[in-house]
Amino acid sequence: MTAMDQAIDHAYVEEHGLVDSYLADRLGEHEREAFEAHYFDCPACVEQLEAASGLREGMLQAAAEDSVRRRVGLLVAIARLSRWRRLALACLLVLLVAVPIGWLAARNRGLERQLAAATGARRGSPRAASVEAQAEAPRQAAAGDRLRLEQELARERQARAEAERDTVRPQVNLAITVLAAVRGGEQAGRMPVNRITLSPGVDSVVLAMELASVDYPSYHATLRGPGGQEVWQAGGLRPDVRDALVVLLPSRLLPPGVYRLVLEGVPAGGRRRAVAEYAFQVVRG
Amino acid sequence: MTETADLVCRIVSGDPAAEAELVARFSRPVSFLLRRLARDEAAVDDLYQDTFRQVIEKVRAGELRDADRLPGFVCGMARNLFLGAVRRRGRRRRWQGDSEAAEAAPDPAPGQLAGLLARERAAIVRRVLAELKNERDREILARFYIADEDKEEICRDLALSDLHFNRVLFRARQRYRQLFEQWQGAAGTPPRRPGAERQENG
Repeated sequence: MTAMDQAIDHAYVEEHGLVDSYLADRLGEHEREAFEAHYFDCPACVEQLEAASGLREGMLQAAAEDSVRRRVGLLVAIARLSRWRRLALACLLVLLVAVPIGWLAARNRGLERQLAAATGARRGSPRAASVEAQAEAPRQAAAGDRLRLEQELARERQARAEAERDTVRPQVNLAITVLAAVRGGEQAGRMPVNRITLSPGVDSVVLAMELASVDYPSYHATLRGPGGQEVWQAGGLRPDVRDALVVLLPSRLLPPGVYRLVLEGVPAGGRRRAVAEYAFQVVRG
Repeated sequence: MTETADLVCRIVSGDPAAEAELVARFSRPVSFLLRRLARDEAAVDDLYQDTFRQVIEKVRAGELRDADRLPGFVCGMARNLFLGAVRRRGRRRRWQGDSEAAEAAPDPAPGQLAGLLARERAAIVRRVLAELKNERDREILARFYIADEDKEEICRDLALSDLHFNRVLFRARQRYRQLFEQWQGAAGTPPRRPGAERQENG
């Protein structure tokens, strides 16, 4: 049982060291409230809290004083030195800094000289010249490849930026059509009742398919064009609150003609099953 | 009937001695909690007075339904009044703008009395540390109180038992309390309670 479940008693406080945890702000909100309610009625706990708090603050104060004393002590010790000794100390400190820096600088100059000598010797040899010539051809080929790849990359970036601009641009002039499903007895060659008129400037078409009942967690749609070829297909369609599936298609996918949209239900872990078929005719307005 | 319930009954029936008893009983914990929360002596004094005034008014009016919950009620009142004061100060700063708030803000530097107490506490701690028999016990206190390390971590590092750790802390606290009380006795300063001057002045 925890302190949160019931009022805590003194034994619990002792056992769990709540006094120090409280002072170090290590208790959770409920445990803190329970402990406060306890110590308000427990003189022994108040005494312990006062003593522990005083000890903690005294320790921190003593540590702070020691730290200041150490810093001041160093300054006082320096101030007590005679003028010549202070000068000598300053010189010593400068030497301690300057000597390693000078040594490193000298070493660096020596290494630079060695490098320059080695480079000069390599340039003068005929074998080195032949190796240089052999290496030049692949280097030039690589440079050409790199230029070509950079140009391709730039083109791709531009295309992607244009595509992103299209994606984020608000869509206007949409043609919204609620499709009626093809009934079982309809003749195959008959013109569909659904007709979509695409006026110039209409970029997208919204197709809404109302479901008689929602029997599947998701649906799959396949759109076939006038010649029976697949124009578009997508899975993972989910009905909205009105039990309708809504898809948005770019109007450039839909040249004039008769289209058939087959809707299949996708059961969890099973094969797709035909649910409905919608036929519509697209005409240019 | 418990002692607490009896106290509440007497306050409800208008017994002034019971009200004085309530203040005496909860003075130390209220004072401790408020000092811990507010840290500003002037604010602690005001909150201390307000806490007891409101507790007594509400108990008199019979607003404390479960008399045995009086300690929690007093504690909650002190904490809520502190939070209310913090919120009011925040609002006042927003309304008045920075320059006026800066003028109205209390001086964050500790007062002379607080400074003296802090120095005295440090001196007592030095004596406590000097009286510890071994270096490891001093290290325990330093790591726990100054470095704010976990008890478990210190015990693991120094291969200590819980019992030993608790014993070191307990003895240090006891000794600190003794020395602090001696100092107070020598300085002739009884433990100061917030609002004591006002109570004395009526």
